[in-house]
Amino acid sequence: MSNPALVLDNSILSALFASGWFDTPSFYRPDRSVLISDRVWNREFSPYHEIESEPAWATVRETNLKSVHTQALGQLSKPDWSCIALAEQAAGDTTVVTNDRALREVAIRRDLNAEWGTHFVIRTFKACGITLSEFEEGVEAYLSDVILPTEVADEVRQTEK
Amino acid sequence: MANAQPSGDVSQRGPAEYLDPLAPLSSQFQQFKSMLEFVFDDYEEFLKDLTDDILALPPEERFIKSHEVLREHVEDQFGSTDAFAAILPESDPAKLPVFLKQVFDKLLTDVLEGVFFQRNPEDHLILAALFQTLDHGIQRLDEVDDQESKNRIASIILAILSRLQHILADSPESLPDEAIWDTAYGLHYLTTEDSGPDFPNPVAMSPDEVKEHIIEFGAVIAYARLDISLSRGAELAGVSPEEFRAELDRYDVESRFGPNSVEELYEDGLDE
Repeated sequence: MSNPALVLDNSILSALFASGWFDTPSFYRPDRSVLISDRVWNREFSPYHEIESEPAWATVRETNLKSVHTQALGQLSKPDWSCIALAEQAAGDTTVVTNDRALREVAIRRDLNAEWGTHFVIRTFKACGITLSEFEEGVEAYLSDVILPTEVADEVRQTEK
Repeated sequence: MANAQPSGDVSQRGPAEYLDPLAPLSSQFQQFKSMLEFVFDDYEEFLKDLTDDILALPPEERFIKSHEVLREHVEDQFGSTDAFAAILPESDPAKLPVFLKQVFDKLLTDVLEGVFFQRNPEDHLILAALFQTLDHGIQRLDEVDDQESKNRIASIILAILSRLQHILADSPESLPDEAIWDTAYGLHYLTTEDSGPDFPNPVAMSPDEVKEHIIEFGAVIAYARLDISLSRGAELAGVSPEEFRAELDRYDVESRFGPNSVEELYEDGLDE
């Protein structure tokens, strides 16, 4: 039986890249499989970050948007909807990981699990997916990319393993 | 441009009434014309003559001197602007900005609803940029003190309203290019008056560049006023999410990332 999946959107992928954590070899989380939709990877992320091949810690998966039924299709982009479609099509207890409020709200409204990208980073750090030195080197760049209230930013800075 | 409060759950709204971008404008013009019927013997002729004369001016005059054309037409018809104000109280300089701001804000809200129900709502975004220009113009009218600046801003508003009147009279299936050009000229002349980011002079741009700029601006307005994702804003603007964030920064619009509190950060209850 496969692990429950995490579906990452462009907001968290870009934040990981900005912080220097994207290429971290130990990023892999053994407890969950990490999925990225082909639309997010091919249209939003890799062309703008000079990355040609997908990382070892994630799988890029094709998505079919025809399965998504909604009247207000224009609340999200096609890459966003591909995250929703991927999460709905994946087996098990799938979670959409994003820092974008609108995408998170739609995921929750559609009875999907949703996790803030920042919580995903904290959990990965605590599970030793990001080393202490890597975390310290990248945390300010992460917080510059994901603009958060001071109390949340301080909570991230003060995270301990 | 300050962040407006985005609306909430849109999944239950119906799309039909938001598909025609000109419908909200048409409805407002009907109300406006009903008001004019009490004042003019033949308001249609007055409006047609006025807007024809304004649109006959080249852009570099139209967006600066249209107030003079209006004054001439009002004086011809009523003898003086004071006499006109006495007949139509809404035209009083103290009341008109408040009245128009309400109208433009309602138009902006209505036309943006189309963004939820169309994948590529170009005309909605162009009209959003146009209404935002009018809305900002009204705000600037209230802020400036000297009559010369007030006249220039009034000319920008009159030039755009004249274009809208002509568009509605023609009942086009899609917005004509003139709407894009006039929005660009309006934004250019208006932003040279204020302390915000300048909109480039359309004279120096190709038609495609002008359209790209206006649609990008419309997408920024859509993001500021609607509960859409950053990626959707970028999709509307036709740029990457990173480029769209730079556009948001330029107009002082905040990205809606989260969480907003430490409690919200951990509310998913996932183990650490």
